[in-house]
Amino acid sequence: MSELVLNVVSVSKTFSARRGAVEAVKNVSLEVNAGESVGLVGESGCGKSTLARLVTRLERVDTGDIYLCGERISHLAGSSLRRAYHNVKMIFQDPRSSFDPRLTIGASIREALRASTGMTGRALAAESVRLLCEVGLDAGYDKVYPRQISGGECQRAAIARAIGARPRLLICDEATSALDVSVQAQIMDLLRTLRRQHDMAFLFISHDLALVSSFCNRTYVMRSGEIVEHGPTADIITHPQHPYTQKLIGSILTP
Amino acid sequence: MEHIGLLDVHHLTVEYPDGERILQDVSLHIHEGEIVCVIGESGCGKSTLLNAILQMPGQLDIVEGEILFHGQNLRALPREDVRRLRGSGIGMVFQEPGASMDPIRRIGSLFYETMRAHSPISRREALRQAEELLRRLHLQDARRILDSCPVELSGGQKQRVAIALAMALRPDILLADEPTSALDVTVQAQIVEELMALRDEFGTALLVVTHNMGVVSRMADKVAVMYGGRIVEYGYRKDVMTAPAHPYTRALMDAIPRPDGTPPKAVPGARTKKEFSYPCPFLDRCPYVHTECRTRKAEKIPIHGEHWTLCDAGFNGGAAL
Repeated sequence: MSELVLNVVSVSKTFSARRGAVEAVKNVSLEVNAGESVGLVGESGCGKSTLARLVTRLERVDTGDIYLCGERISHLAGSSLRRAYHNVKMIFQDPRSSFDPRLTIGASIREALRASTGMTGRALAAESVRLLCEVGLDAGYDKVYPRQISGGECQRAAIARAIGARPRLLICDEATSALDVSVQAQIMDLLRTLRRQHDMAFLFISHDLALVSSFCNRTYVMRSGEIVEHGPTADIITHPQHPYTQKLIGSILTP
Repeated sequence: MEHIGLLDVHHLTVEYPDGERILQDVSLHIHEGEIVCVIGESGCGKSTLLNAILQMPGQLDIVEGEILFHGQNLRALPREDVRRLRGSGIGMVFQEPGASMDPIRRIGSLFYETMRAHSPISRREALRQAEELLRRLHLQDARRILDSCPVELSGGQKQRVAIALAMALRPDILLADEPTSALDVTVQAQIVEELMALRDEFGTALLVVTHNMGVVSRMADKVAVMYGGRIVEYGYRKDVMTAPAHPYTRALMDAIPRPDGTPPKAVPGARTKKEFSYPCPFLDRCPYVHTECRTRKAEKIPIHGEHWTLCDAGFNGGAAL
């Protein structure tokens, strides 16, 4: 049996709001094997982003456990937590808002690198340029600011920053939703190349089932905080079992 | 200029005040009750085209060209007449429905103000008409919606309200800028159905700007493909989508993710700013580029009926879709 990079076990998360509690994630279990690409689909508000935020510890779980590379991380704290988290990185829908507007792209990447690898000086500078080249940006991008480049270029830079830590798992939260189809295809090409070159697993969150089917072996369908269906992506597309999955597939506007 | 359709755009060239060109020689004709979709990547000028048609006050210089609505040249009309046409003759729906609404004002008030700006009407009558309109657009709970503020509505509901609001003055044509991009897939499908129902119900023509090929395939009668500020291919949807002629159109079709798991194929390279100085805007990225491309003049090549392209190198360049 292959090693589990991510194991989410019966996790729940409730937010308290003025109009009462919102159960964002209800008893969700999910597994990602090493080197595997797993899709997570559902519409906005279904809890898929909350789940990603629980895995990356931007939020804490109420109940349940999260294991990252075999280590139970849902209750870690301090330096052991920071160390465990070098194994998972995340890219977001709006890459520009994930960069400090007053730092150059290069400075942002170096800051993340310093924190995750402890590199300094010339090695650090060389590595940041190498990462930029790896995602298809030339060394000139080192000195530009986020506002000076396009959304697609900014997403490439965000990917460069994420892979600098050599994570075992990359979470993509609607990472191409804000991009044009042609730019989206370029980013998907890049992710596919990185997947081949690094031993990296993906949790690919999207509302676009067609896109997920081109990238993920297995897919989980989420609705109102619950996983309603999961299995090989091809099976889910061709033989959806749950009525919600059928509705989701029925509403794909295919050209 | 010739009066052909309900809305005629003739040889439109638009620049920013600093001289940066955005649109070049764009011509487009929309007939009554027709649905035309404009596709292309961000920055290709498709939103600018809508803003220019609406004569939105702001940072655009129309350098050349004419926009005729019912044969009337909008550029020659007094400002006040154009303002009156905006809304009543030419309606508008935006990508972010909430952004065009005051978040703390009730939907009913939005309808009343919109209607009152164009003709004298009592609040009671405006609300009655608004309720009827929401019903005709199959919005549940019309009265509750009129009583809500935009912040209390979901994205889908807001977009449907925005469509109803645009229809309140019964425009002959509705311009929609990425009307589904901010919405979920299931809601997207619903909005598309609703926009199409407008034509059946009110005979409204639609000019829809989108980069969602699914939206195009579901609703368009005709498609205009834009690249680098120019329309590079135009024609009936079936012709353009099943037999794309321009290399860019073909690349765009190949970039669409398909549910059968075929990976989308990326268009190599990125847009350059030099596009307007080239005879062909796609020259730097085109897989079929040859020496003649740098010298020949970009002219419409008729293909079949109304289907034309600026270049037909992509026509036989790939497998049939």
